[in-house]
Amino acid sequence: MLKTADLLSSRALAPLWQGLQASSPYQPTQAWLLDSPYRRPTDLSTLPVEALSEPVRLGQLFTQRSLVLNRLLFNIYEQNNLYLPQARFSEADTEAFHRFYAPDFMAANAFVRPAVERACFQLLDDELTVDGPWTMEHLEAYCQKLLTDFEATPSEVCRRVDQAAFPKQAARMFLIQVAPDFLSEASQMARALPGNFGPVHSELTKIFIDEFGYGVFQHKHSTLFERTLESVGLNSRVHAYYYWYLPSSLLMTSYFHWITSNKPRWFEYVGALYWIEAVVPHFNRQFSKLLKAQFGQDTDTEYFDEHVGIDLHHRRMALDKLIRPTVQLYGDSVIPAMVRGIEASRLLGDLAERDFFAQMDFCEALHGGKAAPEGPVDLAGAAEHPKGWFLEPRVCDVETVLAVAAGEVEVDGGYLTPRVLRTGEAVAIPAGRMVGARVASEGARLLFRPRGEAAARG
Amino acid sequence: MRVVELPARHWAQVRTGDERYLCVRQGGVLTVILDRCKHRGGPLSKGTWDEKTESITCPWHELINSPRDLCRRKVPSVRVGNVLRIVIPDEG
Repeated sequence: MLKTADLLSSRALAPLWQGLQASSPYQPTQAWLLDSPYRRPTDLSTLPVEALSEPVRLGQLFTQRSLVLNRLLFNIYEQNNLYLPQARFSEADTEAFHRFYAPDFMAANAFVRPAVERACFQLLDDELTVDGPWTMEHLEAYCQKLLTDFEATPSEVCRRVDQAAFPKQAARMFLIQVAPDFLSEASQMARALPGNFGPVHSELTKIFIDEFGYGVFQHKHSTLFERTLESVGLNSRVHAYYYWYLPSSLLMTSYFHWITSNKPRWFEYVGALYWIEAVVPHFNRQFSKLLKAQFGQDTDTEYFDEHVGIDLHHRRMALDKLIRPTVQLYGDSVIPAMVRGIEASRLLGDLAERDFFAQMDFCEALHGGKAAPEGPVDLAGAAEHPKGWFLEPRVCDVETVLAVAAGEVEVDGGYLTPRVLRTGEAVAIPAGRMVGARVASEGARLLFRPRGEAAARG
Repeated sequence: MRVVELPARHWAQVRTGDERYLCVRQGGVLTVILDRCKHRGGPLSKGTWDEKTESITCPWHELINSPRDLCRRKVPSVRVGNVLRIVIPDEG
């Protein structure tokens, strides 16, 4: 059987990997926001091709290697999505458009995709097993228990955001984390539609039609989400905030691409779809209230409100029209895959929450002036950078210090209002957290080093 | 039907009502079985585990429960990290 990972590690295909490393869409930019959906900065330069054969374990999810691999995988899947500019193509748009969707670039990405998928999703195999003689009765009892527990608990996301020192920024950051999915909502489902797979095919199509607003652009769920973004002061351009997508947010979005594009995972997808549809109403009701409380009663929350109603139907449709007939036709042996889909969605959702809370804590500390490192910092290794020099948002694998020896530097963790550090100021970034910086004055001198290397001796 | 949790480790046990359940590693996968010997329902968790053959000798009549026997006693289970959940009939 063809194993792309083996081929890649044989070095025979090193030029292909080098081609991806040097490809135009993956090169860094110099700004916080991306101005084009065709630019996908993905720093593959530090990633040897052998890195693809090393899975990202659960404890490594919040690392720079994980971020890069998850950006890569997300971008590979997103080449299946068409994005067009909001106005006429500029010359730069045209070039970038053709480069992002270039057949050779897509082919190179497609070739590495199975290896990247293995690296990113191995953690699900590590963490989840489903075993034993499942029946429909077991599955229903299990789902009911999970749902009852879920709905008995208020949303921790809403509670944490509500109690934050900077709740508006925290709410916006949450919206950014769901943007990789919601800006092209149901595009993963669209991957599941081609073919001919019996009555459930038509039932899935009904859910899909709802997601796409019955062909009415103003009702399409991605359009509703764009309006929510604009309503809270965010840019609705596709992936404008790409740099702030956390590894877990990308992984969650990619999971649904993975299980819809890999056809043997169909039964897993049915389970995962059911769970997502099932939990949305409870969360969306609370998040809608939170947005109105934070941004005013005129905030456009239709995206969230719409899902409170429609997903109650989708939950029922997924159970009665997809799961039940599928089990009836193919037997109980397909149930464990469905349970795995449910549990994978739950696990990825939990990881995304954990990642978001930790990033939020760092942003709260950064913007509240409480992120200073303990003890003095040795500024001897500070390097001079020109105004505009950009440290792309990245994940710090270990506790890291960012210190300014001279000048002014903007630092952000995803609250979109960078804090300006001046001469002599420093911040500590906890391990696993994302940070970016931009030099705001000529001749600034900046130190960005692991805490252990930056501590002043003496 | 009810959902009950137990630790995801070999030989972990849970008792609920009159029934006991035992977690065993079979072919590298943690699985949960009814804690009853195939013979007279003796408590397998009090028996002897044979690592090599992955079988359990019942303490009552020293009857060997082979992997195939244990497989017949499996209950639906999900492992998430180090927690196992099983779906079992309601008591009574």
